[in-house]
Amino acid sequence: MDGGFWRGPGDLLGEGREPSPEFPEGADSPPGVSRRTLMQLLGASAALGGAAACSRGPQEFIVPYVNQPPEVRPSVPTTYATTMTVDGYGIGMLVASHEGRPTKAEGNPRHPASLGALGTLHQASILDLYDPTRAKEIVHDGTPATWNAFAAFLAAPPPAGKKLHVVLAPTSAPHLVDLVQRLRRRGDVVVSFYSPLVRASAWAGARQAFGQVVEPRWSFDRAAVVLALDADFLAATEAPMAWARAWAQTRRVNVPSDTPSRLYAVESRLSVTGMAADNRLRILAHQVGGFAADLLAELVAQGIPRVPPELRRAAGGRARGANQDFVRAVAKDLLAHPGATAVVVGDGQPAEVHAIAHGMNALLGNVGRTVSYGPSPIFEAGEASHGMGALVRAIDAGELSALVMIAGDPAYTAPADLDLPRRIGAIAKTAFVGTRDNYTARLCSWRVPEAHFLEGWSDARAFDGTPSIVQPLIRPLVAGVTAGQVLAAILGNLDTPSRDLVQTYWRTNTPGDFDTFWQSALATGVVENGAPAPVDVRVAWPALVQAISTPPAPPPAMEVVYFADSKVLDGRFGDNACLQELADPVTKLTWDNAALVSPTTATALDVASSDIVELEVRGRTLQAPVLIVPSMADNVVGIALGYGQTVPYRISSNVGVNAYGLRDSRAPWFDEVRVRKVSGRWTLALTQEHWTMEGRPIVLRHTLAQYRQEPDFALPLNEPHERPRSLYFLQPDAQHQWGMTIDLNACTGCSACVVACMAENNIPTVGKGGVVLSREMHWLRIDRYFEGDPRSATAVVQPMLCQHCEQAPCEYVCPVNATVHSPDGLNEMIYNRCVGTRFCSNNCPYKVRRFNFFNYNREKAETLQLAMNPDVTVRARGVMEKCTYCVQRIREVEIRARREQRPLRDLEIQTACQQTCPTGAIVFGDVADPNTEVSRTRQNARLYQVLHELGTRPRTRYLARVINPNPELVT
Amino acid sequence: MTVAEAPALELLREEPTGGEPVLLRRESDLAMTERLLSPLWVRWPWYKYAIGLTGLGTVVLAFAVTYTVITGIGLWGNNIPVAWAFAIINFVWWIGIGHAGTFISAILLLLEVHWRTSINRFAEAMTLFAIIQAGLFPLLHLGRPWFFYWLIPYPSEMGIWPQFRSSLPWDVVAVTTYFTVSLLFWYMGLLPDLATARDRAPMLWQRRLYGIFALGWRGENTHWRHYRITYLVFGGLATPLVLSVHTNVSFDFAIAQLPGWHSAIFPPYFVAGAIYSGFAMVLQLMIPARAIFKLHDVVTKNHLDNMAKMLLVTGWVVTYTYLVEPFLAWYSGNQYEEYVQLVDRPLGPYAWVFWGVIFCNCISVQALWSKRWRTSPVLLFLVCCFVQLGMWSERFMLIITSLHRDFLPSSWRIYTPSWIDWTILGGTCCFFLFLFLLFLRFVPFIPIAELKELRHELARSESLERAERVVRLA
Repeated sequence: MDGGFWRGPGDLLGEGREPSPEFPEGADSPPGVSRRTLMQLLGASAALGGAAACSRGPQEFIVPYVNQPPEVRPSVPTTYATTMTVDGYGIGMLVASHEGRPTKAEGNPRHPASLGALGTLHQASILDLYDPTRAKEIVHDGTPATWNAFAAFLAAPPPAGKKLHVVLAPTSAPHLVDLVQRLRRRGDVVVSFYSPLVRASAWAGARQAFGQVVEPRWSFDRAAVVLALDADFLAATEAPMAWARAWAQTRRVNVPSDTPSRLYAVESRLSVTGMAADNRLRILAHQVGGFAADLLAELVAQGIPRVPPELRRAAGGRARGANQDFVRAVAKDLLAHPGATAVVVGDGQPAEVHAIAHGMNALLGNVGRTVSYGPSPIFEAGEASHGMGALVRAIDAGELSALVMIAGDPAYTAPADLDLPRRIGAIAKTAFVGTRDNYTARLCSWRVPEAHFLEGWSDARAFDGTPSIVQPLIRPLVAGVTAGQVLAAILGNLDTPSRDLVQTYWRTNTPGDFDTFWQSALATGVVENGAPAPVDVRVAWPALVQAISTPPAPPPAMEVVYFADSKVLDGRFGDNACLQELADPVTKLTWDNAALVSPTTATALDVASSDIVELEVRGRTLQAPVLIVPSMADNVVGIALGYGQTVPYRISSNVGVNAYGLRDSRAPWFDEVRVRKVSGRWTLALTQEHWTMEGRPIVLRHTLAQYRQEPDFALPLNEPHERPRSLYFLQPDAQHQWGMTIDLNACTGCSACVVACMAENNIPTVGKGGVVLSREMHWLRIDRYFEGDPRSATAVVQPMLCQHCEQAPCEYVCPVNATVHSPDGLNEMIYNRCVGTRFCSNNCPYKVRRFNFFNYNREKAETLQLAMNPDVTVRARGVMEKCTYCVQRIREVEIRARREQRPLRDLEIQTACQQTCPTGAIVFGDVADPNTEVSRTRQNARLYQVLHELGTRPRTRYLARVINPNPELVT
Repeated sequence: MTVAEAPALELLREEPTGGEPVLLRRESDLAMTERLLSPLWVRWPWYKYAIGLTGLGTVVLAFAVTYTVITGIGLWGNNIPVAWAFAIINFVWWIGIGHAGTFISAILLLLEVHWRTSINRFAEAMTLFAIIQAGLFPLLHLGRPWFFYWLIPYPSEMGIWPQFRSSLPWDVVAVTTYFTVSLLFWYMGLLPDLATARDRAPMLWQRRLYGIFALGWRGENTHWRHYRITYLVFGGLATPLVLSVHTNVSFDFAIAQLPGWHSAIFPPYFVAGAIYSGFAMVLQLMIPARAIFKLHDVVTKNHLDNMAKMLLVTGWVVTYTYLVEPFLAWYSGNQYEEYVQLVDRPLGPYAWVFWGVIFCNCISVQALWSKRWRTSPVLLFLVCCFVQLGMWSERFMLIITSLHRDFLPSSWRIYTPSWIDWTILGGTCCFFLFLFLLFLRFVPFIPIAELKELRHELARSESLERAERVVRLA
């Protein structure tokens, strides 16, 4: 009470001891953190923030468009034409880009190799762009380095007497060819080309037959009879889409008088082409050459005209092998269709077989009709610069100053006898340019990320030589460079953008105005009239005479056949989950390769599927799981290349077994093998485990003769049902009624539609474990059944997707109205209403509904999320999903048409599967309008409904398969 | 006291159906009350182990359930085509077990079968706990269980209703109704005994607790009058439910067009199967409890005998269905039905399940033709175990073998349950026993009031008989 001041009466009277505080407790500092602590934290944060800012994070733009670029309309994808190359062969594609993100690839209709369609690999290759484990930065001896340092390494002249060796993938790119030739002129650089799938024997065969390296350009649409000798031409590297489309055109049967073409397949394993064949001969790959020679001799014996006398003599003296019935029947059939046949040989067969086939095509009058020949688009095709031979010799001779590889994964894919990893390791200066830190990269002192083809400029030629530009759609996500930039750097041009390299070439090689040319080439995706003209070829008969005079060597007791995998090819697509989970068209195997054997061989070896065998080739061994494939040739073990990678990849490590470990450079495609059962089992993830139809009318198949006798054979499975008496039956009443027809005569089972569906509809992958549990999410699957004796069974395929039943069994069992019918006849799935009872799946007789057992999208890498289609919901855990007939595409076109105040045009709406089907087997459209394409298919007598007797009234219908086997051959 | 010690057996009236009487002793009301209530007050040395063990199992169940809800039902073995598996098997099994209680307490009440008296509370409690187990599964098996209420018809903002053509919204209605009615019925019946327990409890807290649950029951005339009426009304309400619940559950399969499911025989077949497994479960619980609590005088061999006969009857209904199904498959000429019924079930990859079902459900129960088996607790218990296993396996056969190979052979697959599946099944068994042990410990599990009533009735008829005999002799 100093000074006698008081605050109140209580204070004055001494009642309250403590004066009440003016401010509440802690009012001078925020609760918990004092001002001092706050300043400390602020300072530390600022300092740490500055330190963190030293690392170069990705550039991010979060500012919305103030001035919107005219070509970018949010939510409306922009489509660019570009080109993908597979071992040098260009495949033209149109890639949709959503706000700068490439999301979906479709075929470029103007490009001769794609004709608007794309295969599995081509569509899925977009995902490689977004692979989160791509090689990201330049690394030199384990430490990050700069492009300038690498360029200096490249540009350094090699010491005297030594040469810089560059290995490229086989290329057709004109600007690369130009750069290679400039390098060659320098004298101290050796350039060679390497691919494990190199078509060396095909080129050599052309040289034998014609004296020059030419490649056939097939016109299967003009062929009445096709003979495939170990040739999977429906899934070939060069132009699978174009050739499959042309072949399928000859398989259309609308009325009984139509005659489909006939396809003979002579092969050891079962290929896509073999599944499509009308008559199939199962022999060892070793025996195919003998078969071809026998056939040529038989053609001569049956009186084919214009036979040179020396060939006639050799043919007459030929000691024939087995299967002469087949040979005679095929020869007769070929002779009956002069100029309308095609004899195709697979890349795996030796040069002589190719030469014999060229000779047969010439004798049969096919040249100029079903086949013409043009120069190979591949640079130096058939020359010694292709292959590893030169490199190995140079390494052993110590002639290399440095080795630069811009070619796949040579250390992994090279034949085992070359021992390439050791040889690469022996070189002091090595560099690898590639999109992945693969096995080769890990052996090299320099690792340089390569630009994905959607990130850098390049060019390519199609199988017929048509050039096109590889146009990027996105700035490099990682610091990738193109092969052209690396070659330019060797030439001393350090920082040339890839576009300048490509433009430089075309500027000097384009007549007329360059800008016009460039704009048109980019807009159309092809360089018009750029294909070289076909060349005249003359068969050099002496080579053929020698080939058929040689008696066939006795085949080995057991043969191994290597083949490029339908999904990962040579392994380059191994880290692509979409492809790994795609079922192989023939075996339905995912996430693995296996030793494929016939049932008889399996019995002889005392193995069942999933057992493990040890393969021994020339002293090298490999253990592989067995998968029994009906209808394979006996005493053959087929094994796909491209698996069993040991590098710690994101997903492909230890998937399958590495068949390169057996492969020998002297016998790269088939070889003698010893097989023995070893202990252990290996779970194989198959999407289809039961392979017969149990006699049920699921895939209808008639021979042409049966069909002509009974053209209405499918009718009982297509009769309209009486309108059921039901309280609930509601007839969809919209103007357009959507429906689909799938022509089983055209479908080869190639599975391109499955990938298209996955890309369009954001379908997740579930991994091997998921497939083993039968939880794969594919909305569209290809069912493959075998009919007949397993040893010689015939395979049939059937795309199976939501049938959009008018009386859908799924709809009435859903307790929450999550699957309902639209007025335009779609069976709709409403994800956000679904609670996941799965009753709909139980009641779906086609089992096309797929359930999200986990949240499959949660673990998706952020970069992979960029590949998602923003027009389609990404489904969460616990909901059912299924084919929607690409409802987003239907609505988009409907809205566009309404805005333009015009009716919908037929075929204006294309489902993703239909769009990419190389053979045009899938037709979608308005079934209420009798003038649409799909309605026309419904007039076909082959039309039927799967499980017609259930009365589901499916909107997806099938055209029964009518095959045309040779009546003289009992298959 | 055991049966041997029961006095003056020859005095007691034989059951009209033959066999032992349903009540062996004629002690005073007080003695009966004291004796039957005594388990509530005494210590059971084995109890803490039993409750601990089942409690542990319940905790494991909680873990498995939580794990499933957090991660997704991908943890189970379900796949496409076998989209329904353990969860639905267990649901149908438990809900079937839950049928016996109401059958005993309601239908036998209306039919005035007086051997139901000693066992009805027991059976009803078993029903409630079985429905609780069953109710877990439809919730859990949903892909998104947090939206389960979309199956309930409520006026939602968006105007979306459940889809009433599906059987699943009706399942929700059926099961919740059944549970509610069963609970109220059981609780109603408990009131007089809770009041007795309140009056007899040695400790204050017990008196308070039982007092709260006794809802002020004082045994007045009006109380009894209302009680009688309500009890009968509930009996009337519950009776159709016994038939309707499992009928509706059978629609979950019968309305589908799947071969093996699409069958008009399902409703009676399911109800019979439910009562079959339910009676087996009552016996499985009653036989040990009878031995442990020495209840041989109130749960007599007559009870065992009657229950066993019910087993035999329902077993034959089930067997008849097993015969009809393959016959109809053959007679229909439908190749998909034929494949499921005549090829896949008896010869396919799950043939061992099929033959196990035939042995457990059709063959083992034939032992009950023998009175010795019917009245021997051990042998009867053994048969009940077979029946229980058989009825679970029957649902496995029904669901898995129909789904795993349907129309298109391309989608044929094998189903294998995961360890989570087994954990949840085992966990519900533990949870069920856990609840049952709590019930035994805290609730008068033999209906004392009703037994006293029964004793009076029996005594009256016995004295009448004696009088008649005296008159006749005279």
